[in-house]
Amino acid sequence: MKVLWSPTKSDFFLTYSNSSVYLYQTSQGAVELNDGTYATRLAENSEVPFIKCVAWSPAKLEDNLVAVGTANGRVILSNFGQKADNDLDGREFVPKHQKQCVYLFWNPLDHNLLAEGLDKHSKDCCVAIWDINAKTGGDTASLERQRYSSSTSDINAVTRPYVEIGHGETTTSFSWFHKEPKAFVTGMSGRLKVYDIRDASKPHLFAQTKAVYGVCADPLSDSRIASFSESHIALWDTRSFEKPLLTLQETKPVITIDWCPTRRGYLAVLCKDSSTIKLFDIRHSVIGSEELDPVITERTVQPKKLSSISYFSWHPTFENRLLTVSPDGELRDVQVYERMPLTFASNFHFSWACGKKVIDLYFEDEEIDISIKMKNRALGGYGLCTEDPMQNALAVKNEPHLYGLWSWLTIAKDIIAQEEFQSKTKGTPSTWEKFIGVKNLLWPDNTCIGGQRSEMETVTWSYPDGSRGNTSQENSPIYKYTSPLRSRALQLCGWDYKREARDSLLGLLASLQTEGDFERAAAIALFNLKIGKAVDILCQANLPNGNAVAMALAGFTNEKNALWRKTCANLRHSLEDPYLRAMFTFLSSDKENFDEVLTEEPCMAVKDRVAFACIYLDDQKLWEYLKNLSQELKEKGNLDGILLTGASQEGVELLQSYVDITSDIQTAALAAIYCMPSEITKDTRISTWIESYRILLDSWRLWHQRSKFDIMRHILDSNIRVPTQAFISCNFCGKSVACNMTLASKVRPYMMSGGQSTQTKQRLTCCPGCKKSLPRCSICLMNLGTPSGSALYLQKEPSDFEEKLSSYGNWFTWCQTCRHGGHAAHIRNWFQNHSDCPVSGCSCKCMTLDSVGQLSAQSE
Amino acid sequence: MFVAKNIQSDHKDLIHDVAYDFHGRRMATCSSDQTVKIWDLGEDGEWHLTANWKTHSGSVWRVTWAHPEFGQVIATCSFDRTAAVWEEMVGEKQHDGSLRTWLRRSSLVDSRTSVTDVKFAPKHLGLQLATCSQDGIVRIYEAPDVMNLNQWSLQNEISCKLSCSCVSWNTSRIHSPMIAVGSDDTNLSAGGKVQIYEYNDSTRKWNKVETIARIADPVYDLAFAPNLGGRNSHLLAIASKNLKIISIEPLRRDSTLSGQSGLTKFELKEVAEFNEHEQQVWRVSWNVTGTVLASSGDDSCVRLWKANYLGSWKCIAILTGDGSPQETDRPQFGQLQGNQSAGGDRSVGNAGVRNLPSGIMNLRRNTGWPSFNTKKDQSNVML
Repeated sequence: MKVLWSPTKSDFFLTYSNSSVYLYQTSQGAVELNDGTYATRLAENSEVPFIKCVAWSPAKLEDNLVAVGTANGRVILSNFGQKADNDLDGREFVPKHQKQCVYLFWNPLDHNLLAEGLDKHSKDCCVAIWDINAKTGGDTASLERQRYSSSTSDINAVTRPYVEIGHGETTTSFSWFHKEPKAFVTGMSGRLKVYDIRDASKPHLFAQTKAVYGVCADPLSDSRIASFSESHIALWDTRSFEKPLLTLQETKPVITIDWCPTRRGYLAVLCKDSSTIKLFDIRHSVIGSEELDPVITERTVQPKKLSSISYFSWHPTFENRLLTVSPDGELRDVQVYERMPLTFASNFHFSWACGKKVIDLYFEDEEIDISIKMKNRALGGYGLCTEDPMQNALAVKNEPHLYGLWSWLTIAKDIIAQEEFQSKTKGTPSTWEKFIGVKNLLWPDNTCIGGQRSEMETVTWSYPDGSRGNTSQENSPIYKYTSPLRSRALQLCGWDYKREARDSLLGLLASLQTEGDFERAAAIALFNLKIGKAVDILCQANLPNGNAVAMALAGFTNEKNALWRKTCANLRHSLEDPYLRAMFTFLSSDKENFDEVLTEEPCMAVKDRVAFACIYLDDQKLWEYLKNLSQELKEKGNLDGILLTGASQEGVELLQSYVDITSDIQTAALAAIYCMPSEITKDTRISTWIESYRILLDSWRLWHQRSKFDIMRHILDSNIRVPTQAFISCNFCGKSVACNMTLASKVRPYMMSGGQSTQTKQRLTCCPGCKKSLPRCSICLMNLGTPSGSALYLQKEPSDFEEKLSSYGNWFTWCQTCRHGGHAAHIRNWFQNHSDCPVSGCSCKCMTLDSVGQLSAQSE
Repeated sequence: MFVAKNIQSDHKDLIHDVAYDFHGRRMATCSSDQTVKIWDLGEDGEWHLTANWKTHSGSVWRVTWAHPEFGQVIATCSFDRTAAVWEEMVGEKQHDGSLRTWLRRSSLVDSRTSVTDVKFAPKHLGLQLATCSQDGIVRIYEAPDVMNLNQWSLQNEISCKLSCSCVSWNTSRIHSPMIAVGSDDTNLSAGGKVQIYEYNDSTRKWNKVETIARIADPVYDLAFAPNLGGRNSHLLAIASKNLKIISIEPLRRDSTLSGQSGLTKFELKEVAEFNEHEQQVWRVSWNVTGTVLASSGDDSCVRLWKANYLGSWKCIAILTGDGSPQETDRPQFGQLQGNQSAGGDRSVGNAGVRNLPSGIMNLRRNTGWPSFNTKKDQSNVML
């Protein structure tokens, strides 16, 4: 079974076997070519017996005209029974003797020429080139032959070839040249021979070789020829035809080879019993170089696994498309893709090229990547609010860990402010280390030994009826640990924080209730032994099983009631909320040992677990717990751990592992500059985050955000100094015109402000050092330092000018290349309509020099 | 979630590389037609061709942008054995009315064979350029004066012994300069095809610190992931017979063993290996944060990869390589597959849609962790 694409119609192909030729059209149909690609069988021609080869006429006018070569050497034209204006259908070409037809090739330009290869027969020719428009019948020789042949009627037969070549030789393969239509190459008797039919008496080029099979001229480069013998493939150049340029070795015998008609230098090779087609890209092989072996890129195409291919055909027009057929007739339509270069841009564009096409993709979905998220956060002003960190928390409200981080910063900052206020009023220096973590607060030396001492107190329940338990009556009292440091820790956890409210705990519970976080509120109430409050909260909450839980709580007494406990244990398993479960764990656990609550309910928020631990664990256990917890959170890069580590070296490690996991350098950089003391921000890790974040903002062209970030850094850490980057020096004395001006030196030195007061305005027109006048504005021709005047503003809509612009308008500005300049407002106006320098005779294209300016102009 | 645009490149031949500038507002393409084209993203969100010129006398393999701090500068490399540095200049009006032209600032002609890759060093190393060539030599050039791009001095020549196909700079600011070089030598017994070199400041030499022996198949592209967070280990994506992500972690310098040479020792780990491209992987590229990796391969697909919080890499999207709107006379193969996410609200299209509006591509997206079964039984090369 063999297959051929139509040379004229892009959606037609045919297959043929020994007995039939089938015509197909790709469309929706019954024959599957690939996943989702189908073809329909349109026609069949099985009238011709013993088909050896088929060739499809390249003439556009002839619909589906094919030449069929047979075992007795006859060539029959067929157009699958379509009606045609001519009588080509059924026309036969009959060689003198009955010999098997070896191949058939239409001339690609002279569409009336058809080359036929014939088996050897004594002195007969082996290549016959037929003119399909030649006169039929009538010729005595053919009439003569008809008598001996068994065929019925040869009225519509041509018996005299247009050209006959290779008398007494054997031919194995043939190929027309595509750009020189009169020439062809043929494999003949151990030689490759190049003929021209205008002088067919002898070949004008030949080469001795075994590779006389499957010769084919590259349609895109006529001098390039490929042929094969057994398992060798030889590449030839007609300009140097003595020996092959290159030979390729295959492991199996080659069946057929063909050049890709749509892509330069692609040679497809099919070997026997192979399920793949090999593609050799010889386009960039340096042939004949002394230094290097030719590099040939090799690719394989496997249309279907475990299915061998018997033949293939390149599509004549669709790039890199080929059709394969298996021995049992299964067709596969295959597209060979070129190497696709691809690249990401910083602004979430992504593009790749496929052949000659470029595809540009733009990602918008935050879920795809953290970088998109970071940019959106930056656009939303995330992290740029120094006064109130809670604003930053609100910007990331739907990301719990980030929200937690900023809430912690808010609390810690408030506490610092309170401490400072208190120490100011009392006159004692603040002992409170800034942004300290709970662990470091309790154990500043980071060891358990010699740490804080807590006092143990016995506490009692406050029952739903408002009564309080009597310590002496209790079977097992509850032990609670207190110390000044522990209560500070509770403040950091948020459990004992709102100082202005009379009862800080009630304040917390109330705010949790308004936020709808009833389970947590109830649990915190319970952990603070306010069982009545907990029941109240649950009853109000209208939770799915809130009432049941409330009932259970209400029934609690401190007596060991086995039935109650058993019921609670059952209820506990049916609860999904970790806080509700924790409540029952708390109630049913051994009163001296509350570890269970912490170990069994790791889903509670870190701050609640820490606060719980700070109340009920003794010093030794608390130390162990906090140490392990902070280690675990650090390893997981869980930002909640910042509560424990604070702004310490450990905090940096925690942020680093957070960054390693999430790549969220934004939060890490922001958190670091907010809370890390300056000796820690010198850490290379922190400076890496900060620098990377600044580069990211720059690459997104968020220059304002970048500047605000820098400004914020300076506010938060006064140790950072940015050196003066530039100043204006006087033409005459060389001194800075700004540095000895009291007013101007307060603002940035190179951007002078002239509009601040009338007094300075006048002085600014000359150099303060040598009192020589400053250069003139190239637009208004006034000395710089004068106000730019308001006349220009009036021509514009007042709304075009923000308040700042009026003073900015007086500033100096100039082109870095030609050094011409003037008042900023004038220059700005000028360059709105011009790209050339405003100074006459200056050919500088000032405006076009600024690529960054153009980028920002485009975005506005 | 994706907005896809087809850009009519008008290149006369295969495009070998696409590159964005630092801001992603400009794009350069280079091709076998020996030209480079520059595209600018307009206010309308479209890419506009703003320059197109013949750069070399052979196929142009790669194009790359310098940091904008150095000006509007690109470098190209070609089959014609040269690399070149180009700068966009504003000058007299051109015949096409534009004021801008790209001038060849320098031609780097040291290679005697095809120059297969060219890459600018990260900005903190100044204006440096690495090229690699088919004869196995990596060259490091530097413009000592960043204002004068005509002057490039050849700083180092590193002989890699194997035909080089690609080179990548490590962008880390903390670690000393490092490059990885890939070889497309097809001889499997010729040793590892990825070599890593590190610059030693005191000797001013590049030293080979690692050869990744387990990669014996030809390598066609490699890329260091941007390491913004200062992670101690560096990730290197390698396009070979399959896609590999290797982590390269510098260990403490062993002063006693390596003595004066001061070579860093590394621990190499294979972080991920994917055979989803089924055959050859051709190209890899990281996004700006080094969190998403894109690869293209012989299966005609572009795949996007991402690590989950446990550091395990998964495919998050498959894009069919040919983003063209379907021609009417050609049966369409790729039916869109709806998003399999729980909500399904983000589906790109419905299964069974046959005629797509132009500009929409065949997209397959897997959210969550994908199943690859859909592609397993398909042919290697698809329509």
